[in-house]
Amino acid sequence: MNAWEILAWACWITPLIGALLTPLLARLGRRARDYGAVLFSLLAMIMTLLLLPLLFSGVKLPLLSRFTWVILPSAPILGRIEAGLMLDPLSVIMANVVSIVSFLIMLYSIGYMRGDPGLTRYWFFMNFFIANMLLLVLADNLILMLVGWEGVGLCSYALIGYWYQDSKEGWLRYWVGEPPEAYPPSHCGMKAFMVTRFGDLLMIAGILMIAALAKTVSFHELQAAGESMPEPIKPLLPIALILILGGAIGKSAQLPLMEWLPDAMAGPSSVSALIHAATMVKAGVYLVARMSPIVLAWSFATPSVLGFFYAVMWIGALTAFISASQAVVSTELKKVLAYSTVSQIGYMMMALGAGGLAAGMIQGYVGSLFHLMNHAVFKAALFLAAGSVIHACGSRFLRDMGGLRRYAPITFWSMLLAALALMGLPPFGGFWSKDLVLAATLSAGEYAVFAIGIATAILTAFYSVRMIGLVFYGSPRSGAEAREAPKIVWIPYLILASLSLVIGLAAPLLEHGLEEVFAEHFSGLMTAREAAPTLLTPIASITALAAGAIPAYLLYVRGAWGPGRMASGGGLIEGLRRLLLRRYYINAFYYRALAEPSLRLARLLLRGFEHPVIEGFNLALSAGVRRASDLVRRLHSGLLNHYVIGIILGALIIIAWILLGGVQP
Amino acid sequence: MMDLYHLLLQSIIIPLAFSAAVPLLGDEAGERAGWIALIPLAYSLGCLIVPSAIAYSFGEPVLASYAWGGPLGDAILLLDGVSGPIALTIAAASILVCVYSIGYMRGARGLGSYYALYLLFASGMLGTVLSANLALFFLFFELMLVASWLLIAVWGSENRARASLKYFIYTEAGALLLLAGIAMAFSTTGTLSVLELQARSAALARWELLLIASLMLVGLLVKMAIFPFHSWLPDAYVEAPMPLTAIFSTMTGIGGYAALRILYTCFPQILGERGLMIILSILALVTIVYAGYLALAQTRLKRLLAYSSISQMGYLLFGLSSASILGLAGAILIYVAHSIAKALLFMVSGVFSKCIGTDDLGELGGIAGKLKVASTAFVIGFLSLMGFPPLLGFWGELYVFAGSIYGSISSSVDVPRLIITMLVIIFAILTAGYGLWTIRRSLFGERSEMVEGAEPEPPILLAPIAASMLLLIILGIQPSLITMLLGALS
Repeated sequence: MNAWEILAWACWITPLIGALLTPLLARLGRRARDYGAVLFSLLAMIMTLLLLPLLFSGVKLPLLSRFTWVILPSAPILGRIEAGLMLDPLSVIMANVVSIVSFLIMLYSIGYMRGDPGLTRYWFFMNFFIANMLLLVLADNLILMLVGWEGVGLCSYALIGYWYQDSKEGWLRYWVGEPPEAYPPSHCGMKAFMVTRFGDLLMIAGILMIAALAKTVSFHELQAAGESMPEPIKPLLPIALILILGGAIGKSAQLPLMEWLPDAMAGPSSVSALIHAATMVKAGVYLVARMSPIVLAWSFATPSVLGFFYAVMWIGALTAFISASQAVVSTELKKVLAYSTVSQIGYMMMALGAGGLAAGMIQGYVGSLFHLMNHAVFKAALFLAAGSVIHACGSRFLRDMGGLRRYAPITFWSMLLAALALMGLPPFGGFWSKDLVLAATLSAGEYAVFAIGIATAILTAFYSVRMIGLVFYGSPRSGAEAREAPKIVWIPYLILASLSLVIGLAAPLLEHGLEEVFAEHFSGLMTAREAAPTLLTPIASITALAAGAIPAYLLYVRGAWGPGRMASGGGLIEGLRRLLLRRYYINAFYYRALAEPSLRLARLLLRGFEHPVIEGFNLALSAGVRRASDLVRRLHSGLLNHYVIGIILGALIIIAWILLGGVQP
Repeated sequence: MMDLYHLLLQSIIIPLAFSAAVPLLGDEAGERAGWIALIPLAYSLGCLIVPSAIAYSFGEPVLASYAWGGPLGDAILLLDGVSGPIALTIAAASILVCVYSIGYMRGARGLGSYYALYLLFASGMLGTVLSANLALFFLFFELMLVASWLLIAVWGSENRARASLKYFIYTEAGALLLLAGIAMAFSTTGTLSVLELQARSAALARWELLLIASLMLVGLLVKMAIFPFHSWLPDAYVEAPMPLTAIFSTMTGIGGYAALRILYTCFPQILGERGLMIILSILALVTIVYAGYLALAQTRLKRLLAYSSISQMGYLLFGLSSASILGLAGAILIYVAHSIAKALLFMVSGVFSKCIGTDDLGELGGIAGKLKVASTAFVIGFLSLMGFPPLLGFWGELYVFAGSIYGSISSSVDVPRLIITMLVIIFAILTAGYGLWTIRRSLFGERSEMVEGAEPEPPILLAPIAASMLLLIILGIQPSLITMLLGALS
């Protein structure tokens, strides 16, 4: 095992140890526990940072470190499952995004969560999450990745439902949604787990199909496995890929499995930032990115697998638009950000799909990853700042906020910077990556998708400015004393917000660097773009930005056209607002058409089948036996006469039988 | 490899002997009888670990044969990749539940007889699993039934008379079908030895083979409580004393084990009968779905867990219907995982009833911060049932699904099989559904007054719960401890 390998394993093990030590550290005292937990995430960050030089060291990648984990003798598939980590550009970059953002959020948690009674549980699951997330991105095969994948799901469940007592008094802060779609935290945790688990089951089916078809589950072997597949089962490959995509869209909250994420906002803001914005929800994007080169390699022998990219692109595009439109009307601060997250992940998916369909692939691939990095940074900043805003106002509703600019200037500037990055204002990071994403759709020749992307950009600008306006401008609407957050709380989000600007300034370099690294890594499979950069995408995206931002500025910042007037603006607008507020009734559909009928069916089966039919059969059987025995019992009358008649009759029958030749002597 | 030190025999005989001795202590022995009962159980586990280690390292089954006299053939005991993990699970679960009994049954009447019957039950289970002679197997099979029937009938709750009778009649009817199959196998092949049957059954006509296998399978499906033969299970589970309920899943699964033995060891030709396998897989699907929905409809924790057991037996059956080593491995893993997880869940449910005074899900809520160890274990137990990695249940489900998927698409595409498999996988969400909902209703939400006034968890009840939880985690991280044994397949 060389130093790189040790480092890779250490990345994963460090936060895991941190998690396991949390209950012990808690015995030493509150400070030991809190700072101990953060220290382990700091160590994890240092380890992953140390992996970065590997990309430029000239070591041949991917670098694998594996040992045998599960052995099932004489099994045709999965007879030998390796536990292995794989270091390649994708995994190293992802690991760094995860660990850097994680550390800053852990730091923020010290201040933000101070005084909460369940903190041992909190730190345990946070570190456990980081460990699982690193395992997810570093794993070299689908089964081990699944372990991390489900692990992050568990942490997400536990942390969404962190305030598990569902206190009704604290609903302004701890619940999510407005009636009739207001849910307590433990409900939201369960919902998130159920929906993602459903996707995961599809993914497990897909993984097993891949295992049966390709006879391997390890990523670097899969690429070559496409050629050796027998002809009759090849049509199953696209099905298997779509099933795997099911897991990815569940985790990354894409259409149609996205409804859990907005409600996941019931968790603490730090959790929303880490799990539901910066890292875990990107797992689906990571998986698609991981599978993309494999699918591309397979497509030479089996062109039908390209359907995978179509599915990814369209799901991403539709999700991006639909979700952005919901953010426009959302009444809760964190929910605006949640819809926005779903929408931005849609962009990433769209880029990956378009990349796979375009000749070169690298543009969409790099665009998606770059956007992922940018988004992790600015969205984490937004969520952390939102947490401090909600804390200051004592409510999660936008209607209780307003005018905070004067009371919390640092929070205001941080949120503004991050929001500008989200809108894609040059020279922020978001501008460059969105540009690549949109350009990728053009390279693929998908003009409809490009148009959806631009429309989404308009909405993005609109809701970002609306959010800033409602929170920071106007007059304060809550009675609570709003104050700036303590230092340990605002430092992390100020760093993240500034980082989004720094990344933007360095973007041309970074972009180029990423392209080079990946082009070299995938040499032969993908080529760097050759087409000259067009001016169409930047012009379109800046126009879109203006088209969205200016009306929102007039409406919500200048207040020239108050929200009240908007609401009374007529039946059509009001109807549209309702439709968007009720999430296109997709959420309601899941409750009305799936959850509730399932429970009804369960009760129906119990009352209409199990009791009357199954138990009824038992009762009928026992009643029948009793009746039969009653019949037979009557013969036992106890009267000697009856028995004598019986004996004579019996004897007569036997004699008759013998006489008629029934028995041969 | 021969079992030179008669370890297999000892593992069955010693609990049997103690079972005869424990009542001699008299019923005043009370709790002490429980501690004494632990001795033979621990000894049994030790006896089983050695041959398992041999089988593990040499990849060969361990065999012991005793002349029995008479026409029934030698009494053969066999520990291989299939019976090994299952016997070890039984021994381990018996120990855990025995410790739990000491705490849970404290103060009950007739504890001397209780532990005597408990030992009889444990040795019956071990004997059933280790026997490689069908007559001996049947003997132990019935011993297991009688002992557990008495345990319900005497120490059960309110409706014990009805439930125990129903349990007895149902499973006895199944046992008689099994006996008919065994008798027919004996008359057509002239042997009862599991090992010889494999060679001799090749000469059987197809209809004979199918008839024998069907009789035996139907008999065993009753034991496994597969739909529509499941109705004895919820009543028996609910009325049985909690410790017995905790180990009941171990027993129910033995039906699955016996079906594995019959299909894979005695009559492997049957595995080629696609029609029969499809029927079994459909039965498995129906059981999984039906019992899963019924679990959703329950309001009492104990009954909910009982329906969940039925549903899990569906997965076991589905594994064996895939007719491949993957499905076989999956079924064994499911057996082990389910036995431990369900023992854990029932034990926790017992803690809830003891400390809070009810297992009605409507009255529970917010337990999480109150009974911390029990709550943690409760979550881990359900996660394992859901097939959550890296807990043991994950590997069971993974290999069961893998076996079926591999069977349907390896060389050509078997569409019906693939559809059934996809349905089974999709409906696995039901397990998550009732599991997470149960967790939410009991552990989360606002605390009811009853929960607020809960007594602290007694350590003697927590010890076996914590041990089961650790087993699920450790075996889940290192499932090779079980799967490697499959190299020693007879």
